[in-house]
Amino acid sequence: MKNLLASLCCCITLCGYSQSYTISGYIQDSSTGENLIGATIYEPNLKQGTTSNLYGFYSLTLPAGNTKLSVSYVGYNTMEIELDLTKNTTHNFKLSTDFLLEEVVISAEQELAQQNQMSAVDLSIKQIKELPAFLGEVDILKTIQLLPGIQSGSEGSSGLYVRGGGPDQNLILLDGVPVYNASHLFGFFSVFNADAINNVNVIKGGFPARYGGRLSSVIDISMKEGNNQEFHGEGSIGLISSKLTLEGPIKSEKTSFIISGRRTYIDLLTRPLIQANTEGDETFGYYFYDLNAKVNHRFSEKDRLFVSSYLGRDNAYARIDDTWFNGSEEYQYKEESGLDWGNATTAIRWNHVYSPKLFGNLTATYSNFNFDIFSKLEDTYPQGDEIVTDKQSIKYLSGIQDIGLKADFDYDPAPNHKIKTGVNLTYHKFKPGALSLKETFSSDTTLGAKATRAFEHFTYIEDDYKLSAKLKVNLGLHYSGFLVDSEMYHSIQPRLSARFMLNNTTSIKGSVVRMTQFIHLLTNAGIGLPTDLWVPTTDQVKPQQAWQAAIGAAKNLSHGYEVSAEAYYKTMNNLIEYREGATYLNTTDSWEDKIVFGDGESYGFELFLNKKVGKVTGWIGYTWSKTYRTFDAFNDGEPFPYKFDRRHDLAVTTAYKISKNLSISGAWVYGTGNAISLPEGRYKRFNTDSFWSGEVERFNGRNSFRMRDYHRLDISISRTKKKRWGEVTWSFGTYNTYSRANAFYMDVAYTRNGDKKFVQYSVFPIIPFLRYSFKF
Amino acid sequence: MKKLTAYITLLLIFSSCEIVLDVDIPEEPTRLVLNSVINPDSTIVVDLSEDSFILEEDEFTQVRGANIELLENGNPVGLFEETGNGIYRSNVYPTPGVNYEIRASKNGFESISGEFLLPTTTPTISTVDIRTTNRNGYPQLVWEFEINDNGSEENFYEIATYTQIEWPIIDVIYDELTETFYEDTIGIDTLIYVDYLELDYSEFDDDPSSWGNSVLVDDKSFNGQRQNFKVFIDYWEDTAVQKRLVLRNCDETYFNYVRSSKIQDWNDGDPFAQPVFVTSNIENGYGLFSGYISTSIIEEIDLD
Repeated sequence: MKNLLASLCCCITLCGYSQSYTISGYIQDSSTGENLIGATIYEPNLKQGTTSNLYGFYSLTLPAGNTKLSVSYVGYNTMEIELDLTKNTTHNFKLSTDFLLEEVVISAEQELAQQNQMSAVDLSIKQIKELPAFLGEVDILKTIQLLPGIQSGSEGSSGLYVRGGGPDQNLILLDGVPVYNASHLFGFFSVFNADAINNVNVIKGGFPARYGGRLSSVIDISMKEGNNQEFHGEGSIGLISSKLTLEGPIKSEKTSFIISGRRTYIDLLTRPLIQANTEGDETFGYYFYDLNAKVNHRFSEKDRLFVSSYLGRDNAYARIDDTWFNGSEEYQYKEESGLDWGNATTAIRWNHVYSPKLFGNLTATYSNFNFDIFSKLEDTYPQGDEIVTDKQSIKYLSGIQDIGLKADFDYDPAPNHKIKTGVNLTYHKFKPGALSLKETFSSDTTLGAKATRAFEHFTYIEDDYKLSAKLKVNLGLHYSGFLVDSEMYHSIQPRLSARFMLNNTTSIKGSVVRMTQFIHLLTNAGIGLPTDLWVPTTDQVKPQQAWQAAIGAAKNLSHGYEVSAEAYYKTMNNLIEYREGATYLNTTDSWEDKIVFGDGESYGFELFLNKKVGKVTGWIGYTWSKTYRTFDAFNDGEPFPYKFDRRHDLAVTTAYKISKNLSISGAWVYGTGNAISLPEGRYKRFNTDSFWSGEVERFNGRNSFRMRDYHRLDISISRTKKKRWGEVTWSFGTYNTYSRANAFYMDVAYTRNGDKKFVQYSVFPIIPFLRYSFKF
Repeated sequence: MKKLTAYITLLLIFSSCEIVLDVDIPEEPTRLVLNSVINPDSTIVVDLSEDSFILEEDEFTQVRGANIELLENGNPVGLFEETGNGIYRSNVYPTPGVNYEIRASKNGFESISGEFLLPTTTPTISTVDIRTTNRNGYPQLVWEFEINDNGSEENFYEIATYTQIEWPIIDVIYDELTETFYEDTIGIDTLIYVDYLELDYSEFDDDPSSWGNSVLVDDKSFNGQRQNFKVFIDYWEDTAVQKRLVLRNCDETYFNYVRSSKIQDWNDGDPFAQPVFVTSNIENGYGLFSGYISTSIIEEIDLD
C-alpha cells in the first residue's frame, strides 16, 4: 500500500520543493501525554503549516535550512522553536497550559478563517464542561445542540436534527466506532461520559471524503488515552448519578490506561418510598450505567496500539407481587415487566508511521445495540380442589450489530498537498423486531424473528490542496456499496470544498457534497426512544440520498473572537416513515410493509460568533431555516413542515472565570415552537362499529400549527478549592432558571374545570442541581 | 410523611404541568357532512349534518330541507326524500358494478358531491372450523373460515359476525300466599347483536382495524387464491346460538375511511403518535359516500 500511494502521488511530490525535508511527530499535552487533535504547526516566514490528525500526528515538508516553527492549540501556550532542517526529522511537541489565566491572544494563522473545512466546529471537553448541565450531568450532545444548524428535538431530548435531517442521519463515532443509540433515560441524557472524552468534532456540511454512511452530520468523539506520566483520578457525586475516572501509566511513557464509570441511582432512592406506599407489593425503578475503558501502548516511535471499549445499559422495571385471601383460599398475582437497552462498542487501532510523510491507521471495530422489552404474568388461584397457575410471557427484541475493519492513510507529499485515503468493510446484522410469546393456553410463538445481514464497504480519497496562498480546495471522492439479500447498491459521492482568503483574517468558503445512507431508523415518537428500529436498505427499500451545497464567510477578530456565516441548501430522497397507525410492536407484518417513502428539503442561514480563550468564553449561534417533507401517503402528497422545522433558533452561552477558584456560566436558548398537527374541526362519523367513537377529528394539514416558542436559561456556579491531594469543586446551578413552561406536546383535552381546550403539557420546570467533584 | 416525600421527589423530578392555550385557528365556513354507505340489499339512506369547531361539544346539527340527488353512471335517478331529522331516503336499490354519484345542496352551504363504483362480485366463503376455546383464561369462540378470492380485481373486505339467540321473556311474579317472588317464562324473544371479534393474533397487533365490531383485510397477499382466516369472538352465553359471519366486499374508499377513523380513535391521547387524517370522498364537504356487496355463512353452535 505504501508503494502504491507513493506511485500515485509521485507527480504531486515532484511538484514540491526540489530540496526539502519533512518534519513529523506527535503534538501532546505536557502534563498528561494526551495527543492534541487539530493542533497547528506553522512556519510563519513561508506561511506554510498543517494540523495534527485524530491521533496527534503531524507531518510538514519544508525547504532545507533554518526554519522557525510555531506550535499552538486552543487553551495551551504557544511553543516556538528554531531548527536547521538538513534531513527528515522527527520532533514531538509537548504543550502546556501554564499561565492560562492571562488573556491569551491566539495568532490569526491558526483560526477559523484559515480552515478549509467549513460547517464544522471543534469542541474541547473543557468548553463543554464549563457550560451548565441538566441535573448536573455534563452532556456532550446537549452542548452540540447549542451550535447553529443543529437543533434539539423535544424538550429534554438529546436527539440531534442537523440542517433539516433526522436523528438517524448523524454518524456518531466514539473512537471511530458508530454508536447507534446515543441516549440514556429515553433521550434525556447522552451516553457519553464527559470525563472520558478528549475531543469532539462536529461536521454538518462540506463533508470530507473520509466520512460517509449518513446524510446530515458527523460527530467524531475521541476518548482520552489515559495519562502516561502519572496516576490521576477524578469523580463526582450528584443528585441522580455519580461517576469515577481513573487513569495513569502502566509503563511510564509507554503504556497508559483510562477507565471511567457512571451510574444513576434514582431507583435506589425511590424504591423504598414506592414500596412503603404500596405495602411492599409493588416496586418500579430505572437506572443506567456506562463504562469506558481504554489502554494504549507505544511499541516504538512508529507503532502504537489502542484498545478502547464502551459499555452502557439502561434498565427500567416494574414488579408486582400481591397475595390475598378470600376466606381460606389464597390468591397470588405476580407481574414483572421491563425495558432493557444499551450499546457496546470496541475499537482496536494500530497506528504506524511508515515514513515521515505517510501515517497509517488500521482499525477493527465492533458495535452492538439491542433493545429488550418483556412482560411476565403469573396468576395463581384455587379451582375446585386444585391450585391453578396461569402464565403468560411476552418478550420483544430488536437490535443491530456491526463488525468492521478499516484502513486509513495520511500522506503529506508536499506542504500544498495533504492526501487521505482508505478503505472500510462493515458486516451488519439487523434484528428489526422479534416477538416471543409463551402462555399456558397455547403453544409458544415467535413472530418477526428474521434477521437481515448485509455488507457495507467504502473507499475514499481526498486531497487538501493549497492552490495558492489564498485558494485552498479539498477534493474528494467517496465510493460506497451495500450488499443485502443478493441486491448490490453502489454509490459514488463527489465531495468538494474550497476556501479563498480575502485578507489575512477573512475568507469565503463553499462546498458541494453528495451523501448516501444505507441504513434507516424507523421511529414514530421522534424523541429517541429505544423502541426506534434500525433497518437496512433492502431490495424494496432504497438507500437515502442527499445533496448539500453551502457557502459562507469566516473572519478572525481580535481578542480571540471568530465569526462565521453560512447558508446551505439540502435535498434528501428515499426517506422512510411508518405509515399512519403502524407501530414497532406489530410483528405480524414485515417492517417493510409498514413504511412509506418520501423526500425532504431544507435551507437556511447560520451565524456563529465564538470566543474560545480568555476569562470570558462562549458563543452565540443563530439559525434561520425551513425544512419540509413530502410523502405521497401524507398530507395529500403536498409538502409539509418537518416536525422539528424551526424558523429561528438562537443559543447564547458564556462562561466567566471570576477568579482562579470561582467561575460562573450560563446558556440561554430560544427556538420557534415545533410544528404540530392539531385538529381544527369535528364531524359525525359513519359508524357501523359501536366499539369506536361517533366523531371524526378534522385536520387541515400535517404539522400546520406551532407550539409556543421555546426558551430557557440555565446557569451554573462552580467553586474550586485546592487540597493537598488535589482539588474539589462544588457546582450549583439551575436548569430552566425562570421556570418557563415549555411545550413537550399539545393536545385537545379537558381542563380541570371540564372545559374542552387546547392544552400544552410541559415536562421540566426549574430544576436545581448540586454536584461535588474531585480530582487527584 | 413517607408518602409525602415520595410524591414531592417524583413531582420535582418528573413533574408535568398543563397550560391551557388559546390557539389561533383560522375561521372556516361550516360545511355539510354526508354519510351514506349503500348495498344492493336495501334502499339508500343518507345522513346529512354540519361539521363543527373542534372545541365545541354540542351534538352535531342535522341539516334539514336539503336537496339531494342520486346519479347512476352519470344519469340522474331521482331525488331523495327527507324522512326525519337530517335523514333522507331514496327508493333505489343499488346495482353491483354501477358508478354512483350523489349531490347535495342547501342554502348557506357550499354544495357537495361524492362518487364511487359499487364492487361487482363477492367471493365465496366457507367455514373450516368453529369451536370454543379458553384464551387467556376467558372463553372465546374460534371461527376459522376460508375466502376464495376473485383474482380479477383488488378487493377490500370487512368481516363482522352476529349472534342470534332465543332469549326467554321472564316475568317476575309475587305470590301473596307464600310471600315470595318467582319467575315465569312467558315467551321467547329473538335477539340479534353484533359481536366483538379479533383477527388472528390481533392482541399484539397495533392496527385497530383488526379488532372491534368488524375487522378489515385486503387481498394484497392472497389475490386470486384461497386464504384461511381465524377470528376470536367473545361470548358469555351458555346456550345454543346461531352465528352469522358476514363478508363485505367494499369500495376502497369505505375500507380506507373505516380503517383511518379507527386508527384515529385508537391514537387519541397518545402524545407521540402522528395524527391520522380520516379519508373522505366528499367534495367541498366531509363524510363518506360508499358501498359494499356482501355474503354470509350461518353456523349453529351450542355454547353450553
